[in-house]
Amino acid sequence: MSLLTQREVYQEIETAQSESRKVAVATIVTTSGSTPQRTGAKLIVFDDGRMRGTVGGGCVEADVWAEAREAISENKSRLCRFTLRDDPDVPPDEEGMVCGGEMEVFIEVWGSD
Amino acid sequence: MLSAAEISNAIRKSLGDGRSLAIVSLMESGARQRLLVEEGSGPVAGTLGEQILDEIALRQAVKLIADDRQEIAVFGIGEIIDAAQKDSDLSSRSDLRLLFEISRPPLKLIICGGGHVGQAVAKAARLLDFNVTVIDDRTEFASRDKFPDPKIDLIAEDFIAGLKSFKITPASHLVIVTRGHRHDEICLRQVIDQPARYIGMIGSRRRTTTIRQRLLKEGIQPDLLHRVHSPIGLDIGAQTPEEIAFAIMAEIVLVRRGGTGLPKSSEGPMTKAR
Repeated sequence: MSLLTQREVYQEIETAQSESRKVAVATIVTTSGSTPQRTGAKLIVFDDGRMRGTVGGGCVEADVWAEAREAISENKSRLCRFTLRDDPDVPPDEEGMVCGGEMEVFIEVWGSD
Repeated sequence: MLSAAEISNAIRKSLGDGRSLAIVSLMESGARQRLLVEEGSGPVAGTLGEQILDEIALRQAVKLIADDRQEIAVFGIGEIIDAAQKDSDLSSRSDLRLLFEISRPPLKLIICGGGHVGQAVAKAARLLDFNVTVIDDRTEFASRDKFPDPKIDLIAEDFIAGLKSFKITPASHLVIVTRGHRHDEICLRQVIDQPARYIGMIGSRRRTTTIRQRLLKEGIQPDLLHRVHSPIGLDIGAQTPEEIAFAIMAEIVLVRRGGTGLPKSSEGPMTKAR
């Protein structure tokens, strides 16, 4: 799984803006406990619901996507905190535990400014 | 406020110059504020909106850039404010958090000398995702016969001209393993004052000490000589060219990522090494 580079992210924003579209960029900024997610991972969500990149898949990605769409419609950035429990899409780790970590996702909205 | 285009251009420019770039953001729901800090040049664009915030962010960004392990970090303002700034009105906004994201240029490894050790180092460095350039003044050694991997750049020129033909940046790692001490010394002189991340030169302790002392006498700054890894590589008892290549690459990983170079186990057959 290759993560989006910073440059790719800003180029995507630039392209979206040139088409007068809004876009939200979700970044995993902190994680604690056992999570399959990696800090720095980014998911770009466009105002039509398309997305690019990944924050690690699973239920969390769907939640982040939903938050990002809300942020776009409010036109306001937000910080979300997620608790990961018994996520059926996430395989148990090597010690046979399901992930039970927490993570913070910063969602920033870029309008057509 | 910086536009996305300005930010992506700044990333392209810094990485193209072989310098890391830190993008500092205010984690607030309000305006998107960015401060861009370039390795070796300081703040290059943008602002977090207040001079004191910029000063705090700059200081922290420089620290993070210097530590190759860092890619992303979040700090509350209270964690990184220093005593002199404690009295400012920021102290009442302790919930303010800053996001630091570091973009780093592709790693470069320049090998002076295309002999057995140079060939083995090139292979090991490719495995670690370095962009590899090999310089040798003997065309039969700076050749595809010896370096079949097409992603390895070859420069068949004398060492000084070869080293001058591209820019040495903070993303550059130099491995000096030519066929003889005379050429090693020529290469070292050429790069000693360049901003490379790593400079290593092969040779016995006695030989390399002689070269160090000669350069010191000639007025080369002691600081510049102290950063040269010579004899090159970690002590793992390497003997074959391939083993020496691993010792060299292990040292480069250590320099980049930090660590002790000691075995991780506290018990067992390697205990003696601790």
